[in-house]
Amino acid sequence: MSDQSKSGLTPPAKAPATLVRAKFGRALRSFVALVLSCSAAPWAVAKPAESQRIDALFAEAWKMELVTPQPLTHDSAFVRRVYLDTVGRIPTAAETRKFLADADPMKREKLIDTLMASDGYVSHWFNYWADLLRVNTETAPGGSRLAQEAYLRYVRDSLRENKPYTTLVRELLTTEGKVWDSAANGYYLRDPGMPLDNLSNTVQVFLGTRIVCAQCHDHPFDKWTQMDYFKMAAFTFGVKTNVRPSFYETLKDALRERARHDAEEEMAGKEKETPPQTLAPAEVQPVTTAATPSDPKEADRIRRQQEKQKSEADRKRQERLRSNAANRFRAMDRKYQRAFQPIQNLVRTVETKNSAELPKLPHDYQYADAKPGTVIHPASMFGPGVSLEGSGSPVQAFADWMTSPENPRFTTVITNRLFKEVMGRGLIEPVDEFLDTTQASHPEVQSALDATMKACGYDVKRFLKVLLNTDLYQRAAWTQEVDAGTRYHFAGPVLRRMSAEQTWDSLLTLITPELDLPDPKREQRFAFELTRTRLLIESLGKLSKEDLMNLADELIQETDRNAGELQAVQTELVSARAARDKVKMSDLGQKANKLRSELEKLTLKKIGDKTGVSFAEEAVREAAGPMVQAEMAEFADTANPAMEPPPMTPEQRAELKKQRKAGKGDKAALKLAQSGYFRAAYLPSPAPRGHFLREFGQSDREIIENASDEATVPQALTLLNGQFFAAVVNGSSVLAKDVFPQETPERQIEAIYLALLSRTPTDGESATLFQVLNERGPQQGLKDIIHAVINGRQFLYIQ
Amino acid sequence: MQRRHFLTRSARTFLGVGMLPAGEALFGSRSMAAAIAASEEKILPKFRVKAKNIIYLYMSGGMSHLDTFGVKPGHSNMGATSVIPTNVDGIRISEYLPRLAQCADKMAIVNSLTSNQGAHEQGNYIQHTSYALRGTIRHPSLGAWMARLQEKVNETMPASVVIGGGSQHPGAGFMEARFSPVAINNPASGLTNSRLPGGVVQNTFDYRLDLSQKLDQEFQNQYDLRDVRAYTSMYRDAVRLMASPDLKAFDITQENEHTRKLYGETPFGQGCLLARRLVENGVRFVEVNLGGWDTHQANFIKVPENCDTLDKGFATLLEDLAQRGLLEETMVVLATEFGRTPTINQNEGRDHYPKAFSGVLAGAGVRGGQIYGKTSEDGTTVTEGALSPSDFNATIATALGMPLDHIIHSPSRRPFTIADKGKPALGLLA
Repeated sequence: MSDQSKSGLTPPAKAPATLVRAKFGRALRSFVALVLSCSAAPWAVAKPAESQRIDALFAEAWKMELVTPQPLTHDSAFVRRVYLDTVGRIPTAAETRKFLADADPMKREKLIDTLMASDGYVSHWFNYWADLLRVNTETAPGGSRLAQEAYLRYVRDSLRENKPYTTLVRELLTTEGKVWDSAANGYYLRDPGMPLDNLSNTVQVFLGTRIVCAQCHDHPFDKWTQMDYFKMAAFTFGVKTNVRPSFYETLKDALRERARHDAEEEMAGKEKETPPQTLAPAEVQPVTTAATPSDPKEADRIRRQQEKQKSEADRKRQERLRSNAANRFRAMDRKYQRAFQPIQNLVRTVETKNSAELPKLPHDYQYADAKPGTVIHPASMFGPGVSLEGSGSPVQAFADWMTSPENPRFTTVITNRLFKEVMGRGLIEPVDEFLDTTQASHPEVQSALDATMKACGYDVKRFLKVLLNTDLYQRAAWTQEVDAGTRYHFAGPVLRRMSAEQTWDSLLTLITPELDLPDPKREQRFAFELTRTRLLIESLGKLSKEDLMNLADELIQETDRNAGELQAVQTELVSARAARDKVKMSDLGQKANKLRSELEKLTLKKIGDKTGVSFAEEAVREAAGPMVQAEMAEFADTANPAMEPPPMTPEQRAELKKQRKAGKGDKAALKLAQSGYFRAAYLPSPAPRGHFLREFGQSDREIIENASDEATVPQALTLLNGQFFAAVVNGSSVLAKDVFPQETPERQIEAIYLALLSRTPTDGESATLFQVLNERGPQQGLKDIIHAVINGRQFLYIQ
Repeated sequence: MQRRHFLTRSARTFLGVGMLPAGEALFGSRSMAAAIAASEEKILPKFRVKAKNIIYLYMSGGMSHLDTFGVKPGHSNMGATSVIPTNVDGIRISEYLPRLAQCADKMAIVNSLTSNQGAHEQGNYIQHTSYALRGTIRHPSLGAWMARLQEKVNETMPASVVIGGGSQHPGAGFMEARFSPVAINNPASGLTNSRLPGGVVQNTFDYRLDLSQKLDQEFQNQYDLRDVRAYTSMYRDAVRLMASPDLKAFDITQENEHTRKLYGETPFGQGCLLARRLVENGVRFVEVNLGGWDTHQANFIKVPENCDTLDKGFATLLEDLAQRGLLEETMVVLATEFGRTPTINQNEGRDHYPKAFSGVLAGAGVRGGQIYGKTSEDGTTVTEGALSPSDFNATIATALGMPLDHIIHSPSRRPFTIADKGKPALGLLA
């Protein structure tokens, strides 16, 4: 460190003299900002008063505790850290140079603003929210993959539009409907059929409180009873995650009608053959013989009795009819389930409905306050009571209570979580195990954070900017252990390992300039599947009972024909196996595979014929929107001609050209992108087992905040021998294009250090690096240096 | 992030303790295992433990019991499948498994498995962990429990390895990352990134490593923290592994052509071969996946194909282990998430059926040559010796001498045991 000033590093930016100038400039700037744009935050560019307040509170605490804070960071440490915390990747050499060369005393504030407004913000913060909200598109239970894909995009879009946190939470908790217009319902579809688990997670995520133990018994370490738990669960228990598309009900109605009709016909037929037994003389005779017609009273009695017998007979007839119809319905229902089975996976788990259904206490409920099986009504676990009057549904009342300013934990939980994300440690630890006795390490700071969040209307970006603009955030990282369970004085941020996503995205920064673009193939596949499902459900929903029945009849025929052919293949296969005819066996196997895959296509075709909506690939793609087609052309998978898009229209071609001009079409980079080099936020969530991201501890997104930053051997092996390195030093990589053309070895070395560590090498380092170039030659030497730096701890840690 | 802060953050995912400072070795697997062993002498049932290793063959998708081990000769539910005799009197299995039929003396076929989890993920999860899938916790799989409770045989090898399969595996669940199985996606390419990439010679590698340490020294001095040191020791371990002769265990090309063919030229067959090599070199738990059992359609076409793969891999594995004397200490398990409907559906397929299904235990600790449990004549209901997935896992754990009542707490302080409330079926064990 001692020889850093000689190496041309910018000195710390916050020398007292510059501060005075900065303050004046700041005031002017914020005034200009206000005049220019009403929508700009009042503290755009200037250091927010809230940031200063937080620093003042910490300074006060340090005075009492005799803590010396860490010095403010050099610009190079700052630029690396702030890129990682805002856009989730290291800056490129060019970005670093630009920042270091900027003489504006307000450049830090300005950079924070620019980065927070960029697409990179979404690419980075998505990973945090995906871990928190368990966005999982890969092993989604109950076949809800499509819903999870939609949910993922909902989360991404919410970040893009910087949706206020209260709005986000409200939408997650209350949204019902179909995924194409209500993708927030993925929050519930994430846990289909598990409303109790879902509630435990809700309380943990948004209220920082663990009540999961109380799901089965009173909480052993906290005050929550099982009764408290069920009262809370009663708010969300009514959310239905197993809603089937309406055409299933229509078909059932049609079947019920037909069953009733057939039963009536059968009964009428029987009655024609043998006249109704209901007024059998044997039953009536004894009464009539005993009667004296002259006695009006007696006649009346007889008439009444006859009527009674008749109505009794009618009732019995109705009963028989009902049971006959019910039996017929059951048989038909079984049969007709076959009709839509080939498309079943396409249309299920895409809808939720909010009902007022309430939970019952479990059969083994063991406490004296209520009996097992008792229906439980909603009530809040703390804070203000909840009135269900006039709030629409229990989930609405729940969301009102959750996001209310009077809720004692809601605001603190999110401010503390975000504080931890950028400082490396929360004022309250752990962040999601609040007890009544829980106290922030710096209560005044915690209150200031909460007040800031409330004052800015739960604008997460503005809140984060307050944190990033504090001196605390801009100090050098603390150099000693910060143990769990001890009080931390916040003399500086805690040293953090890059998250799995930050590591991957940073390596990507060295490789490709196409950073914040989604994987077009993934986006298209999703748009295609979502549109197909929507069209299917909508068009089937429009069919009349009659048409639906006819369609179902045709589909059953198709299914049976297919099964018949399959059986024929099977019979042949049995004899082929007996004859040990391997060629024939393999032929037949292929034939069977074809038959199987045919059935879904055939079913879609028939539905298309009946509904007048085409489910052919091109037609669905067209319905999914023109952009999907245009992007499709660019990324056409030549290996799979079936996926070839239709030819582009001139407008689409022009649009594509425009994009290319805007720098979104570097061929080489696109090629890399095609081989899976997308930012973590645009890869499957989570990445598959064994992927770089998983090796570095990416959350499996099965339980809340399940990422890990533990060191493992496969991580070391990956950084030492992984495929990514070839891409990093490949001639067309961002790094190579910057480093290799530099004119002198000094500048080449400097370019490497700027790109990987956002700083120039010290004199000592330079000496070592020159020696490398001498010993190994320029080409090999540069590669060795890049490899060595990437494999150092200082690359992996955020100072 | 950082939910899993434990004392042992410097810990090794795998590889040795030898080079670590004495203080850190305090939490090493050796002393931990010793401590547990000492505390467990009292609670362990008096049972002669024979099995040391497990090779766990997982049939992903739900293996049809009627068409494999739970046959019902003569019943119409059998469809196109017929049965063949085995080398044990009175035991018959599916005609699709001719080589395994000659290994029946080594196998205890369990035909009375039953569960209430009829969906893939849930079924897979309970089979691997003994617990029902929940949205609030991840339970450790059997291999992770073994890594946690038992001493390693070879310090340079991972405690458990999973070959093939999707991203569903529960792994170490709530336990630390170092108890996670090491994943191998393709048995033919061995341990990922453990070899020098093409075009890089050993000299270059060593030079870079040296340079890296030199350039990083100042940072490491400035931030002399546990987590940073953990990486330094991890790098040391990784480099040691790359140079270790044990790495050869991951390389199936060391086997001759004949052996490789015997196992079947499929990822599963080659995975079985790799499993044998790993067990031979001190890996205690190896899982090999075989997918394609979800036969909703064309059951009688798909199942014979799959059985062919299974038959070659499984039978060769048993013979190979026996020949090398490894079957004396290695238990081979065949498991799946559920069975398939005995009645054949209209697509000539069979659907999910958790009510009755089959599994196999073979080798060390197992009383071979028997069929355990019974189902009704039509194969729909367990009528004798019902075993839940937890019972099945409790049986395996008992054979390995792992205490069923040993409680491990999750970071959220909830108590868990290796097989939940499962009871071992002692009749299966020798």
